[in-house]
Amino acid sequence: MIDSEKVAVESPDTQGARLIEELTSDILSDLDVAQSLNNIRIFIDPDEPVFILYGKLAISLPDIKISDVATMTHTDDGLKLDIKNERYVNDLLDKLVARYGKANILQLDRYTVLVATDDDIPDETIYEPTTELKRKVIDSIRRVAPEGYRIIKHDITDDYILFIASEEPIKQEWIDRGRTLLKEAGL
Amino acid sequence: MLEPLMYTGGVYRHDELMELVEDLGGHLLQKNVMQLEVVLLILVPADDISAVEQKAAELLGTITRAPLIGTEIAVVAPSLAYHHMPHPTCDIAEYLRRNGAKTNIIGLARGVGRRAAQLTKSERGLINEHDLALFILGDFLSCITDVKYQLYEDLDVPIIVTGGPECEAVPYAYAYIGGIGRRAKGFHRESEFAILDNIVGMISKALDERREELEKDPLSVSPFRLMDEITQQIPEVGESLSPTPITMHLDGMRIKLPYDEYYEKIRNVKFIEGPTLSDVAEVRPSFMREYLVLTIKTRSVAGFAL
Repeated sequence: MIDSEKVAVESPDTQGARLIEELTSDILSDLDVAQSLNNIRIFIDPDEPVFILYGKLAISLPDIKISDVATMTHTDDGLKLDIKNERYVNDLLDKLVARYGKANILQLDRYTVLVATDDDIPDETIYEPTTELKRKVIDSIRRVAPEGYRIIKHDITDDYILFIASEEPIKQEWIDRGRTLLKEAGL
Repeated sequence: MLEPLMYTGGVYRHDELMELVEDLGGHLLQKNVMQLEVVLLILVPADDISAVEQKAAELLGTITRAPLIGTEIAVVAPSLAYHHMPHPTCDIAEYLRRNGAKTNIIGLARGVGRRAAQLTKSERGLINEHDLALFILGDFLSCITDVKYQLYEDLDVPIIVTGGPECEAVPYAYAYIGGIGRRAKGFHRESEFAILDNIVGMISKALDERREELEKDPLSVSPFRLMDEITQQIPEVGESLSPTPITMHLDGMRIKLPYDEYYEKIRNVKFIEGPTLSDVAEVRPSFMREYLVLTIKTRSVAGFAL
């Protein structure tokens, strides 16, 4: 189901614009980013050739820190981490390995990790949902853009994404057009 | 006149149906066993269809007409990236397969975009080995009508093009079918199946025209008879692990044996009337792996018909 408020495509080829609109809606909902990318405006002209996409990013999840995932207690064997949320164990272990080295880390079972240190571990960020979301958004936009458009310029912040793709080197007028889209959206 | 049929039923006693087809003077082109189910692609003399249907009913199987049996069709996409796969390329290829065709999906090396879109020599050779090529193109009319015909303008086989926009015809193609284009979802609605049926209908029409053309100067030997002779005289064909060790074309076949090793053996296959295979057909290496491709000479070229 196409939500015309959500995706609007502009193109000299009206049939093509309608098809791209349908394709965009399908791809975004397939890849689970439909809720995170709003107010999508696309300009595509195969004769130029250029594809410009603007979308508003809706990021709400906070970063995950070590304290969100595990509780730390000092024991005779070293620092013991009791995992509260198993989903982020891999990210936690990666962080610990990078800091203390593989030899100093022992995972006793699914929910317990021992680290050979007497100090507290700094409460660092181990997983950024924003980064993951941006990756998924860029992946989905690359699926929407025509495959031959391999020269890409994009600008992604926490609020929006502007994506310009073409077969030819990116022209200044396309970048200006993208900026106009941003201005129209009030950014 | 042989009728192309597809039998779907249980494995139990399916050999009775195979024997019946052989007794009636028909041919078994492909047998696929999937656990307890078996699918047979068969050709049966038109007058004897009722006997086969009766046998199928007795075995609790079903018989359906599969118009594309005995043909090999190239389904060509601009690339094998997620922009074209699995929808719509694989969906269309699968639908053609259910109608009896042997399909090969070909992703082009430089098929995408406008500036670089072109066919390599080996791609051209490979596509020309098929009976027909179906090109799956995108959403913009100007690309399809003004640029992408470069991919198929100098191919020898009939071309059918599919794309997103509706339009009457495109240059160099036998037919154009709109309403597909780039898709991120499968074919589920009735209207979408109508498009797939339209593709099958259009392919059947193009192939029927090719068959009519062949009838004007008939082949020197029936491809099915040639297939039976090769299967009998070269037992290694039956040992091939490929689902279709011999893939039929309208005017020949692809034999899935190494060219260097079997070239001489294939050329020397003998007919009871006297001539050998090299008198009635041309054998050459295929662009697909190391296989052999065989094109049957017409009566005017061979000077006789078996």
